[in-house]
Amino acid sequence: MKKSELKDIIGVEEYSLVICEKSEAARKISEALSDNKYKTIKIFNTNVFLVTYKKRNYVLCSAIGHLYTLNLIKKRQKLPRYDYSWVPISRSIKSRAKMVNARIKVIEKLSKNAMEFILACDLDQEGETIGYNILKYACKEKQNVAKRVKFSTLMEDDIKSAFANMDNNININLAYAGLTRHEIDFLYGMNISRALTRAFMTSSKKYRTLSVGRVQGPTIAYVVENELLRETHVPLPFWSINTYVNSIKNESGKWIKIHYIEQKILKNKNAKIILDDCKGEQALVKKIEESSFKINPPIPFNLSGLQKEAFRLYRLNPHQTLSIAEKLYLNALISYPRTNSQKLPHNLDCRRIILELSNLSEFRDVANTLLKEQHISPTQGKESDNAHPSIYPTGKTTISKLTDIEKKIFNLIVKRFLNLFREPSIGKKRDVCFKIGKYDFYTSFKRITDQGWNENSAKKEDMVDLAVGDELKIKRMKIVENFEEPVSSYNQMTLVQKMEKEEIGTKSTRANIIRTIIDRMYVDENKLTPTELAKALVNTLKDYSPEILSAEMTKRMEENLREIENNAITSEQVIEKTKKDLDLIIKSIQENDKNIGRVLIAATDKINNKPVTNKPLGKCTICQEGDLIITSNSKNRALVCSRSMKDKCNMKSPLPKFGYIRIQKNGCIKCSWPKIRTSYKGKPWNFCSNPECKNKERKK
Amino acid sequence: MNICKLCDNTVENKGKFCIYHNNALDNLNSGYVIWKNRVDYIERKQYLKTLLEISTTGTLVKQVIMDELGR
Repeated sequence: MKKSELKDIIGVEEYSLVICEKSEAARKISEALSDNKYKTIKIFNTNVFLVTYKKRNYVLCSAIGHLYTLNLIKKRQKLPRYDYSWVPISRSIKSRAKMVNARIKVIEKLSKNAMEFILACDLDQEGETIGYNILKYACKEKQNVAKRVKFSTLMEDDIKSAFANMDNNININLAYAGLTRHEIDFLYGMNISRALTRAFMTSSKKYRTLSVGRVQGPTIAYVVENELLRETHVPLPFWSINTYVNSIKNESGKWIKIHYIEQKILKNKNAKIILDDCKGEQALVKKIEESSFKINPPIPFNLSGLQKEAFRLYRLNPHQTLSIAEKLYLNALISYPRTNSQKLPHNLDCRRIILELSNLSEFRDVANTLLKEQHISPTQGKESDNAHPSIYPTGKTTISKLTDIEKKIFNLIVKRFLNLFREPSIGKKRDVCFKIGKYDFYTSFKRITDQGWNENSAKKEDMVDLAVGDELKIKRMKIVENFEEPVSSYNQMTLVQKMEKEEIGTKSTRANIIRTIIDRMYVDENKLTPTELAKALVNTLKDYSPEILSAEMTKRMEENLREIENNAITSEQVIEKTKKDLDLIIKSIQENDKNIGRVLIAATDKINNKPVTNKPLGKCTICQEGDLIITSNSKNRALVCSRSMKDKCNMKSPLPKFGYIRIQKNGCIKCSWPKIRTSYKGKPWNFCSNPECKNKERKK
Repeated sequence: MNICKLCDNTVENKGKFCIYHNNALDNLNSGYVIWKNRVDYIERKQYLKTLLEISTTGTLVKQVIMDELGR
């Protein structure tokens, strides 16, 4: 395409090139700057937006996340490898090649005539890194001259204000920190994964990719160690005394449960003595203490707060919540979700947002009540984030195109936002101490007197009117034996919280890392328990290369990255340090490759040979006797009749690798083999399990 | 090289079990001391049988118990 042709297509000669992270963001920015009067142009099948704002022309183009990635320069076998360069992502991910190449080509063309470069990617380390690479490689070294617009929502006012107050430079140190993070992760992942894969190949002469990354290693180790605690748990006994009393003053007639002062009685003999001594006694009210309590409104959502609540209420995993929140952001419904902050911006026009939210019928009452207040101020949390405030609704309420679950997450964010301005929930508490014989017991009653923000709190609870000196009849008293519980298994949310507590990974990457270790069969998706492979990996790395599993190492790296951001250390220094660490790790793996390989082979053999005998899915529709079960290894799944293993039935059918499997009530009308229901990319799919079914032939 | 009596893992220092089953055995032994103290006295065999019946007893512990009980 020649210069004149490009000018003909765009229609303007002078323009500023605005680089956005996603196409939807580019469109929203165009809408905001032009009052919806922007022009959409298609170049190489990619949308570009032309906007005239304050007599200046802006051409908005977009990436699709990262357009560049790291790749090895030379083809050679010897590890460790430190020769790498940034290349278009299309070289390593072929499925995205066409789209990525088109985007790069468009940006290259547009950059040639651009008078000015403006970076409008997401305002965080990833956004700065994506932008830096585009400016450096596609725009030919414009990273030092490009300007930066900063915004936390895609609302018109925010965007216009960002364009009026743009920075003269991108945050180059933030970009360096992002680039260094990618380079360290690449060096770790590539070298250690290859070393482990080779160790496996040395012993087995077979190929199997074994990957471990800088954050993945400690994360797998957490899951394995937690499971080991569960598997080696010996429950210890303790006793409690289950006591119910009643008073004639108690109008409801419901027995009152009271507790012995020691919640856990550690000797059975002591519990028996207490029970014997209390026989025939009455419960004497010795002391009553009344107090009031307050439950403050919740604090604003940051990403992990939102993920936690979405998991609690809707069982959405952190990855799903993040995807939905990003979609809501791109629809300008909420502020940028990848934030640590639990604080609303000081200059936020909360009253305007509440007014707009009152258009939503389910929040109308609360919003109108708040709007009647003279002065409103939100509850704020402790955490802050330099780049973005907490997550809040923008006030836009066009949610008709959202799916049900997206609406639920949006409503969750709106509800939390409105609750920030509401009054605390207030209640009364009455603690009552009893004496039974010489032993102390207690109970407490709670009653909410003013629900405030917390509509779900029970307003009325039986609060029996007792007085000091009252004697209550013991209705039931018995010893209950209990056992100490093991630690809980992780779920996706608690594992994210553990990573957060240990400061490994970032708010944006934690959910993806869990997804990766599930995909690589280190942990089971449903229960998040480790597979044999994960156990073997942790076991063997503990012996030969414990640094890979250490959270300390990855924490130190995060600290170094923060120092790069603050210009206290250079990227080169951190990379050099990484290389030194890797030299030692790779050397250790190579020296022990036979031992490591042997352990990993044993584990993969266990996985591959394990017949997954799930619950029977139903009776075999062919022999009518055996049970239909799913067997699987790391690569394939099949539906078989339990009698097929003894060659008494020939029912054996390959299954799709992913998705749920359900057997339909009636078999195939043509061949009577079981009919299966599964889903493909979210759409239900029914098919006959017989690979040679004539019905299938006819459809072909 | 020795293999654990209860799984395919290797055994260190001429022991009977791998580190995981050894860990389970250690917990079982230290648990027995606490159990004896808490319930006054319990025969080892009875202790093991009781643990087998409790759902939260770890799977590795149960394997060690089964081995000790000769099941």
